[in-house]
Amino acid sequence: MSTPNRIQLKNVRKTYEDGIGGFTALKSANIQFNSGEFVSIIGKSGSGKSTMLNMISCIDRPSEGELYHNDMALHSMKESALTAWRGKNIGIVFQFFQLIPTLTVLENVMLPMDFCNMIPAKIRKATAVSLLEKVEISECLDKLPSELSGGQQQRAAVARALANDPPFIIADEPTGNLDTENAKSVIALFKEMVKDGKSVIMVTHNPELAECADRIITIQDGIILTDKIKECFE
Amino acid sequence: MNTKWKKVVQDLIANRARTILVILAISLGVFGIGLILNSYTITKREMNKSYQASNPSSFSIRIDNITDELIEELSTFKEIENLEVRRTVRGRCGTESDEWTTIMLYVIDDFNNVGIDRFFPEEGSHIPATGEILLERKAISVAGVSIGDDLTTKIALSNQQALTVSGSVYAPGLKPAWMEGIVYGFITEETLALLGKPIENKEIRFTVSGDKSDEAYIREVAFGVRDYILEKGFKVDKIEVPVPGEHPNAAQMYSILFLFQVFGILSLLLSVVLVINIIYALLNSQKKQIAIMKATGATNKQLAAMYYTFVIIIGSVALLFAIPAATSFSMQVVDLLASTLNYNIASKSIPMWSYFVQIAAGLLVPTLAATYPIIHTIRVPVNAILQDSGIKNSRNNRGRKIYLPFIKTPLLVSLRNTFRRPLRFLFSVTTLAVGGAILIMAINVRTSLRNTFDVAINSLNYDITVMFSRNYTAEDINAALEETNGIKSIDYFAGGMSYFEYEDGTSGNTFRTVGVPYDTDSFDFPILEGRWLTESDTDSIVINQGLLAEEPEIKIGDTVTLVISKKKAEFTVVGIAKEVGGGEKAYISRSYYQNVFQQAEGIRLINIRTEDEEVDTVAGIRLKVEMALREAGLDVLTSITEKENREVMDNHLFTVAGFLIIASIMVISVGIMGLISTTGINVIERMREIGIMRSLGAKAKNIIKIFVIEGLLTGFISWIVAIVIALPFSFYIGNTFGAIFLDTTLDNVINTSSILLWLVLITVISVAVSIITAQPALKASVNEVLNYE
Repeated sequence: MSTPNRIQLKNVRKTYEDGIGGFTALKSANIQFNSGEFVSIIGKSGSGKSTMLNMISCIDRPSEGELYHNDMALHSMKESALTAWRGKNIGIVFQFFQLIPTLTVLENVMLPMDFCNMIPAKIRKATAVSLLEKVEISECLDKLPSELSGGQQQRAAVARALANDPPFIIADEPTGNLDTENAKSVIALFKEMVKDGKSVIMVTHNPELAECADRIITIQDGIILTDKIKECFE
Repeated sequence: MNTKWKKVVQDLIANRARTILVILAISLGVFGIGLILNSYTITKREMNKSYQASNPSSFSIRIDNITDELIEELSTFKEIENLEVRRTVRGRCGTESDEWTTIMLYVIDDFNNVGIDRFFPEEGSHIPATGEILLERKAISVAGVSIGDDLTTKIALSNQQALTVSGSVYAPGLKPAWMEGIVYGFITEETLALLGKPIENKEIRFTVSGDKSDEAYIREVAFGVRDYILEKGFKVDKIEVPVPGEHPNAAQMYSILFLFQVFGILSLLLSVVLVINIIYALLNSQKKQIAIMKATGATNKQLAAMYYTFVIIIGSVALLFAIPAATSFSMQVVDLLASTLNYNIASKSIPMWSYFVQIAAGLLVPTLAATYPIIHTIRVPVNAILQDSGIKNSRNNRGRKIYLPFIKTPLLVSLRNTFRRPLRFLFSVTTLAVGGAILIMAINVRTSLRNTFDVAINSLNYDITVMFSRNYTAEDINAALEETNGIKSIDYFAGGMSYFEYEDGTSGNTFRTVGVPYDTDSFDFPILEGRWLTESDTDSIVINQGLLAEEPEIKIGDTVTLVISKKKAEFTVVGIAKEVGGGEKAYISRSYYQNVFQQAEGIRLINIRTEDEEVDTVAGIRLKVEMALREAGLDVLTSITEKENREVMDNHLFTVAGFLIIASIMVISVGIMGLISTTGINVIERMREIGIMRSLGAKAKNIIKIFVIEGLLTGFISWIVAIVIALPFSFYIGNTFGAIFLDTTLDNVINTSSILLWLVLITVISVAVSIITAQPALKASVNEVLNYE
């Protein structure tokens, strides 16, 4: 089991300047995410759920408010430090998979390891192979992303997110581009990761998939409407 | 291999077309630099070496009579290292046809013992027997003979004599015969006797014992020697102190090398713009991948290292092509220059520093060029890229909307797209505009040079000019030519070799002073400053720009002391005339000349206008004039027709024009690459947009039309910018080139054909490139295009 981790948003507000006065996508969010949680964030398009995800993963900065990882003040860190932090602590799964098209599946998984240097160089390949085995696409490791189905590509993306063994997995509409069967299998993967002590924070607009999580946060117009914790996994 | 570096390599391979374009762009830039540096260093070094091998004279003094006693006395001077008497005789030569060419005969006492201004045997005999002549190697074609042929030669006051061309020599100190239109021949004393009783120019050539590169020192020695000779009672006709160590063709070489530099630098600049453009587009297309890498933990430093490596790999590959190509091509250029300017190349070795500069240019320039795009791209926030759907819809576009109610939507797409990315648009326009500007400039400079020569020729309002070896009266000359048909009018001029004496008693180099009747219309030189001579002028003098280049201190209103045949007179400078190809000359009133220099009625030069200006007729009349003058006992030194004058100028133009054509071809290639890259990038970047349009029912021709209109619009705007850049720079380059080549500014003209030519080229290229580059987006399925990364 990993050591307990938490990400905390304190009065986080995000406003986008659009030339006609600005648009506030997230209004005074106060929320905490803990290790071992499977959290789903739901809301309509434009509700602010992706913005919240961007705040958590630090790929965007809050306009106001504070953001902490344990006691580390992320909101005041420099971009370079944030990048290093993200590499160690956050694994991201995108809706459109976002694999590097010129690298093979195995290389895609090894890429974050090469950037972050957390995994010793000698065992990177073996680690990547084992991750691909875990997501059940080890037979595809020498293939280019374009040779894979959508489901396979998303599995590869999940393996890549796990490359540096981060405590938090952030997934933005991870099943949005998949059929039902593949969507279910990705959710199953997430559940397994949670069992391993990781936190999975998933944005979805699909209430049915959101129900798979053990904590469901509903956002509307940039405001957290509900934060519902279920008693056990389905 | 680390996956980071694997990605770099894979990207290079995956983006083959763009990789090749960048490699080509860098290659061309490095090639330009290599070509300039290699050609420049080899040419300068070898031309100098070749010239120095001849042991060039430090100065020369022409005297009316040379005695052994004088030579002996001068040779004891400690400042004099060596001296030699050189006799030259000017005459005419020809083959069986009636075409006659000026010949300069060098009479050599001992062919085995030439110490100053040496020449070297090339083919045939080394020492000509009596009745034989050795020709300078470049003079053989001018004379129209081969070794073994007879060359009919005639000198003043003598009958013609056939001399056998027994061999050729290489004389590094002489200007190329083809360029000057003069045949240089080397004969013995005995052969000269065969030719008759000549009017000889006897001169002593000296080398100094001190610093041979110190012009002030050489001048001091030269004028000391002249004073000594004058004290001894000899008459000094001419004293010449050439620029130490400078080959007679230095001006030609420097002017060509100047153009090399200008166009090389511009080509490099164009390549830099192209490299920035392509690298920016390449990084732009990788934005999403950069964002993904950042999201998975890549730092800006790591990303910068990756993309700098990417650029360095491209630069290195470009060097593999550029350095050998530049080396090989510069050898061709060096050979061409050596052949046209007549010097030998002992070694074509390229200095190591030239390679270092090329390597630095190949690696450093693209690295610097890529810095802005790299930094700009990797700094873009991750979320901004990841949320980009591929179709830009930001608020910034609003300001660039073009509302034209009568235009159909597809055309509106073209118009708006052209200005959608201002930086990209700026790059595209700059690349094309610089390319077009260089082409326009090259053509303009060539046309201006041509025009300058035309103006120069047109300022000479006569068909034949005849120079006598001594003074005659106008009546004598008129009487001699009375029976010659075809002459419309004759202008008579006084003249002689002269020099300025300075306040400190020293003197300048010799030049020709011409005494002109105030109402002559033989010359109509453009006046650069001041005015031409008037009827009331007495002690006024007009100098040409060639003399001004020799005496740069002279200003309008200055008083100068002119010395002709030991007689001095003071003159006020009233004008500076532009006389291209006229050497160094001064003009004063003829009557004043005859009075002050005590040459009453002395005429040295006549200009003849013929009734029929047809070229063959003029040449025929010139022969008749020469014969008539000779029969009357008048001694003709030279005669030349306007056509021959023009040929000499054309020959000077030839090398420069040839180079400008090479430069233009090089530049157009870079320009075309620029258009291919920008249009190609445009298509690649808008793949998704094309997909959407196709899914909405757009046919291939609709898509092509959009790109063609965009290409044409960019091309047209770049054409306007090219004109704006080219016009002032054409004048600047023309004037700088003219100052080096002709000691004056060019008569600049704008060649409208060059502007129209570039418009036609840019239109054809824009259409062709747009159609070709749009093909990948049209051949792929709509789904593939929509999902294009």
